[in-house]
Amino acid sequence: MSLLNGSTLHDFRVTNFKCFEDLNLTQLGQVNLVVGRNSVGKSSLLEALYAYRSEDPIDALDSIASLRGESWRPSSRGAAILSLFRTSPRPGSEMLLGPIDDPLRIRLRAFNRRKDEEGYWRYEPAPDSTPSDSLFGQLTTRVLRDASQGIELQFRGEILRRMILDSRYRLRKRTATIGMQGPEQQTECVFVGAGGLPVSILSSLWDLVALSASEDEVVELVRSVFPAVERISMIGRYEGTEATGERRAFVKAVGFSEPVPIQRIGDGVGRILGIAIALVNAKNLLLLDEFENGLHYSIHESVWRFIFEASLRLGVQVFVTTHSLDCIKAFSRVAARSDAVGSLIRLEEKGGKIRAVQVDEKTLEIAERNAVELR
Amino acid sequence: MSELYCVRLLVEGVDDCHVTIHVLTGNNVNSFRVKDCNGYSNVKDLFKAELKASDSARIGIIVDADGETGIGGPEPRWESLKHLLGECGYKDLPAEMPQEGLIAVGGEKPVGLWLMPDNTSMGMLEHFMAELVPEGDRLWDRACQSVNGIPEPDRRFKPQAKPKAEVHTWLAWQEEPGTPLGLAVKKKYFDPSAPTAQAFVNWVNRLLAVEVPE
Repeated sequence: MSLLNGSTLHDFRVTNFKCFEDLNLTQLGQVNLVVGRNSVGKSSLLEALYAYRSEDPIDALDSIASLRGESWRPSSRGAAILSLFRTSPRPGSEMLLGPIDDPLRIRLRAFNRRKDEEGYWRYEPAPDSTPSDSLFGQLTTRVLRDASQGIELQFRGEILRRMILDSRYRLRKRTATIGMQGPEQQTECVFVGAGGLPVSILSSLWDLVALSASEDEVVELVRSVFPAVERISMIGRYEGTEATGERRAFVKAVGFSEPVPIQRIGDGVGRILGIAIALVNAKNLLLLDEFENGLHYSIHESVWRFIFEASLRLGVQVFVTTHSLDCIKAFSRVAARSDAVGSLIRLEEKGGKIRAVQVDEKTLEIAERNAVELR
Repeated sequence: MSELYCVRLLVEGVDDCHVTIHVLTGNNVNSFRVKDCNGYSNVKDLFKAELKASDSARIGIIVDADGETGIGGPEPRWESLKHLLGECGYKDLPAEMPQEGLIAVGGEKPVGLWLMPDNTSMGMLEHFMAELVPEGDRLWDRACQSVNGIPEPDRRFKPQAKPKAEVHTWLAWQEEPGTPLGLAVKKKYFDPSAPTAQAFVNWVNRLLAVEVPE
């Protein structure tokens, strides 16, 4: 399933998701830098974009918690999604993610279940006007057994997916009117968290570009910052003759005949490798949380140049968060010289609501030349 | 992140900057920051950038009513600023510049505009300074006579710049000759309670009083 034709987003809204009551972004660029105070929702915005662009938004929302390093017990996965609603969800509560006029709707609904003639449980949506308090508070035991909550994914009026939960938020049943996709499609959008890509994901993404022109691009970027790097490879770890299943990145370095673990090349090399691999793999969207982690300010500009150039050529829209002034400065310099359009988005809380202040490239340039505080 | 300043005032040059600071602080107004934009066109560019800044809640623009001494005479700055404000979402602007200074809302932040010297006359900062010369100051008359007494062919300054010649001549005769404009306000050579200065201070206070969301 691709809900979209892969074109870049021009605008985006996030409604009732985590800290966002109703956030509207317009005139998005090819490369977008998101700034703002701690806890204002920068990472949450990335998560919303990630969910929207994923092959399976419900699954993506489900996995958002693990993107952040939170772990929910598998038995409470339903609760993980319910916790993403901004206000305590009740039947009829809805999250919207997507273009302002055409968003995905993720709706909480009440369902009644009954056995059909063949003895299978069937779930039917109950009217949203069921008691507004917890569905389970006032019902009798028998009714309790037959009632459920569920999450429904709607797009353009069509119901794409349902996830039915029991009274303890355990997953009871999942229905999909859309096909489930294989690992290829999982790279439609890539999320690089503040801590970098987990090695397992780094490895599998590396495998998808190994021995291709994209591999050369990745090595080129790493080499542009660390000239000692000649080649890169992912090599499995062995205990004696047994493969442990883990793989690590190694480098053929100038002057060394043995492979060197990539971390030995210098600070930030792992981060740069991660960003490069993610970008060449992402089909339509790259999300990067906390750009500056592990990167000295002197290499910000090289990394931005790579991102701008590759994003335009590969047709990947990029959203990056940062706290760093150096990062913003380098971004603004590179944006001014690049064909790809850059934009800066500041999230801020005003009057109890989170809103976006958006700055186009031209204004960004003036701001940087004149030390205007945009963070 | 810097603190939130109540108003960011944008001015054309270093004299405007220091005069603004000392006229305001001399009247107990302190919740402001001034930025010397180094030229009128930079004021306009910086205005757009400052609208997006996170460290000020309001913006004030203070520029000379006259443009640079151009060929046709004074530039219509009011028109060009109205156009700029319109572009940035400030609607319902009056046809004429109000005498007490303009305050406009509707865009990103509340905005104010003051055209030196007094929003209605053509002129520049030095006309404003002339209004701040203490009432009955004998040296002021003498300075103006002195400048006027220079035969026209001997005048090296353009006619539009005569007020500058008068003000700086007067300053050359003060307790510390050659004191710059802003410092001269601080030292009370100029009177910060003069009516024109008060009108300016009132405009800033009115801008500060416009409510902004927390």
